[in-house]
Amino acid sequence: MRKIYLLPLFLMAWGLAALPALAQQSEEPKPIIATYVPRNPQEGLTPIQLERLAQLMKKAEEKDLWNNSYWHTLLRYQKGWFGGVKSQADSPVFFFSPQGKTNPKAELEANVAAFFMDKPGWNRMAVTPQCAFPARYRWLKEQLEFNPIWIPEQTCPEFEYWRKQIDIQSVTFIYSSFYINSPVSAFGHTFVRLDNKKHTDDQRLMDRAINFAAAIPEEDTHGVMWVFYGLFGGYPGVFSQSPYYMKVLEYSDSEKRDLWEYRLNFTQEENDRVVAHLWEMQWVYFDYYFFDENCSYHMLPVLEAARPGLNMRDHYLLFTLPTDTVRDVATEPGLVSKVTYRPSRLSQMKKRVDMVPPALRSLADDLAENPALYETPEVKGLDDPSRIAMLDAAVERIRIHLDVGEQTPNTEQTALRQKLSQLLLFRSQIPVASPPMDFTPWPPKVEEGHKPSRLALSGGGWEVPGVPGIPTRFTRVSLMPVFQEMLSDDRGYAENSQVIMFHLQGRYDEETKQGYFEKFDVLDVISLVPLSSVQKTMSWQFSGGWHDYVETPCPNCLQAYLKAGFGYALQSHAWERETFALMGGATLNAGPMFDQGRRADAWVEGSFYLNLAPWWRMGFVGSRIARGNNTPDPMVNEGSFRQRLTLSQNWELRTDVTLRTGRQEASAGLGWWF
Amino acid sequence: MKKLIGLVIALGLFAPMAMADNGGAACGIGATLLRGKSGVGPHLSATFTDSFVEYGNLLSLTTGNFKPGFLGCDPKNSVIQRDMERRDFAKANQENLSRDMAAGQGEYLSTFSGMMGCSPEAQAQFARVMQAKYSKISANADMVEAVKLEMAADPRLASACSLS
Repeated sequence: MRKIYLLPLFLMAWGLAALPALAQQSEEPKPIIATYVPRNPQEGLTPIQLERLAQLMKKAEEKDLWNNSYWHTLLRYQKGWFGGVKSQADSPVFFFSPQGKTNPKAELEANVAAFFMDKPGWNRMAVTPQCAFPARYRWLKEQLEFNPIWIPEQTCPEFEYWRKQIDIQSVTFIYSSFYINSPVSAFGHTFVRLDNKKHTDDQRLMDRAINFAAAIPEEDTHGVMWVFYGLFGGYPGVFSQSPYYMKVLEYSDSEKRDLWEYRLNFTQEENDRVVAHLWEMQWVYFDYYFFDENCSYHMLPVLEAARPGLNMRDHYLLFTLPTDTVRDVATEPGLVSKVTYRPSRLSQMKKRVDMVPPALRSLADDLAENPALYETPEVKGLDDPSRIAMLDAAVERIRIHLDVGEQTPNTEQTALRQKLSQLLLFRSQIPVASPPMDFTPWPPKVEEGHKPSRLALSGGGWEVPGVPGIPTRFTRVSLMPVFQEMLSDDRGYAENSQVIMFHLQGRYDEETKQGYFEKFDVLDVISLVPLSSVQKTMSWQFSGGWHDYVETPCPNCLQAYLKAGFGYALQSHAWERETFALMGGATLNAGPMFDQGRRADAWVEGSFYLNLAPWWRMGFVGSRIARGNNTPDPMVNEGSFRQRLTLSQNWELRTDVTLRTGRQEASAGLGWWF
Repeated sequence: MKKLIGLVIALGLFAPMAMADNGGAACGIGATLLRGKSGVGPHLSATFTDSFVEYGNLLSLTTGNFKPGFLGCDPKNSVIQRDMERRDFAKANQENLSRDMAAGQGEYLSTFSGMMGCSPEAQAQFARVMQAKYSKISANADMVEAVKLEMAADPRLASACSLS
C-alpha cells in the first residue's frame, strides 16, 4: 500500500518495465565497436622506433605533458569523484592504449607510438593515426618537437579535403531558445557553426553546423525507453554535421525557436584547431545523459580545444543547462566578437504584422484567409508600401501554419499552400523589394536574464482557518536548482512559463521551535500560450512531488501528489502585460491522512498575471476544488496572491499570501539566483 | 502535433541515413538530402542529417575497417557537386526561397545567388530578375533549371554570374 507514495517516480517505473525489451535487444550480434579492445601500438614498432619513443617520452616527462589540461581536453579526461581521471569518451577506437580511458600517460605514450606508423589499419582504422587524430598529432609534435626523420609528417587527403570544404573563417556558437511545449527542449539547445570564408555574412545558411545529440534507434523515438535511456545514459551521443540551413529549418521554421549566434573571437590558428579536433570526434561516441553530459556539455570542450588554457567545463557538477553554457560563453572575457539574433518564423510573422499600418491590419488578416480580396478596389487602390506590408504579413500568417518539411500535405495543408502561392504571385507583381525586418531592440539575450538556480529565504506567519489564536511565525528556506518560476523575471526566458525541477523547501516554526520538511516538487511545469489569431495552442500544467500542506491535523505527514490540467490563456497589453488563464484538471493525492491512503480531486483554476513594470509582477490564482473519497463538504476554494519585485539581475523580493484548506499564510522574502 | 513531437525527439536520429557509398552521386554537404531516402518520412533531422559517425561503420560494423564517417564525396566531380548543392538547397528551402523571390529580398535569396555563382555586386540584379520572373519560375517543377534559364536570358546576370 505504501508504494503509492512513490507515485511521482512513475517515470522510473516505466523505464524499469521496459527492461525486458532491453534484454531482448542484447541477443542480437554485437557490433565490434562494443567489444573492440585496442592493441598497444608499441607492438607495431621496430626496436629503433621504440628507442626513439623512449627519448620522446623522457621529454614528455620533463614537461609533465600528460597532466597538461590541453591533453585532458583533447581526450575528454575529467576528474573522478574519488580521485584519478576518466575519459568521458566511450568508444574504444578513440584510444590507442588499452588503458587509455583512465590513464592519460599510457594514452599519450601510445599516441606518440602510433604517430610513427605510416600505414592505415591500426585499430582497424581506414586512415593512419596521424590522419585520424590531427589535433593530437599537431599538439604533440609541437610540444615534443618531433624529429621529421623519426616521425615523417604524412599527407592526409581525406582530412585535407574536408578541411578545404569547411574553409573556416570563424566559429559561431549557436543557442536555440526554449520550446516550452516540448519538455525535452525547454532548456534550449546549443551547437556550433563553422563559418566558411567563401560565404558572405548574408550567406551563412550554407555554412556547416556541428551538432551533438543522442543517436536514438528509430523504433524508440516515441517510447518510454527514450525517456529512460535519455536520462540515464543508454544512448550513444554522437557528433553530426549538416548544412546550417537544416538547423534553421528545424529550430527556427519548424519549432519556431529564436536562434542567437555568438561569433567567437578565435584566431585562424584557433579556428584550425577546432576543425582538427572535430575531425577526431568522428571516432567517438559518448553515453548521452540528458542532465549533464548533454548537447551543451559536449560543445564546451570543442571551444577549449581551440584555445589552450580556456576552461569552460569545470563548474558543471550535476546539471549542464544550455542557458548556462551560453551565459558562460557570452561572459568569458575576449571570447565573443559579435552576437546576431535570428528571429524564428513566429517572431518574423509578428514583426511583419507590426509593420502593417494599424488601420489595415484586419484587412491583411482577411487577405490571408481569402487572397482574392487583393483584386478588390479597396486593396488595389492602396499605395505600394501599404500593399507590400499587407501581402508580406498575410504570407507570414499562412507560413506559420505550414508543416515544415512535409512531403505529402493533407487537404488542409494543400489549401494553405494554394493560398500562399496566390499571395506570392501577387507580391511578385509589385517590383519593389520588401523592407527588411528591423529587430531593434532585440529581445533580451540569455545572459541578460537571471541565473538558473534560486535560493530563497522568507519569513511570515500561518494559521489554521477557524482556529482562534495568533498566527505561528515561521522562517522558510527554499532551494530551486532549475530554473524558472511563473512570477520570476522572464528576460532571457520563455514568457508565461514555469519550469521547476527538484524544488526543495523547509520551514522553521517559532511556536514549536521545530524545523519541518515542507515540500519537494520533482517537476512543476506551467505553459501558458495566449490565444491569438495565429496561435490556438492549449495551455497546460503538470506537477508532482510531496508536500506537508495537509488538510486535517497529521503531524509530520507528507502527502504525495500528481497534478495535471489543461486550458486556455488570453493576453492583453493595457499596462505592460496581463495574462489570464482558465484551466481544469485533476489531482491524485496519496498519504496516510486519506481514507484508504489516497484521494482524487477535480478542479478548475483561474489565474491572472499582471506586469505593472518589467521589474514588478503580480499573480492571482484561485481555484475551486471538488474533493473525492466522499469527503464531507467536498467543494472548497483556494487562492493565492503573489508579487515579485526585481532588485537586480539575480536578486528579487517576493511576497506571498496563500489560502489553503487547512492552512493560510502570509510571507515575504528575498530570492537569490546563482 | 505528433509529427512535431517526433521531430523534436528525432534530434540526431539513428535512422537509415548517410549510408551512401563514397564517390559517385552522393556528394557534398547535405548529400543525403531528400534523395530517395525511404521510410524516414518528413522528419527533418532524420532525412537531412549527414552524420559524422557513419553508424554503419562505427556503431554497427561487424566486419571491415572504420572509415572516416564523413566524406561521401569524390572531389573531382566538383561541378556536379555544386549543382547538387543548389538542388538540395532549393528543395529543402523551397518555401523560404519562394517567399524571398517574391519579396525581392532576403537571406535565402542572397545565399542562393551566391550558389548560382553570382558575385555580391550582382545580388541586387539577381533579386530583381527573380522577382520579375517569379510567376514563370514558380510554375516550373524544376526550380533550379528555371532560374538558370532566366539568368541566361538576362544579359547582366549572364555576364556577372558563373554557373560552372
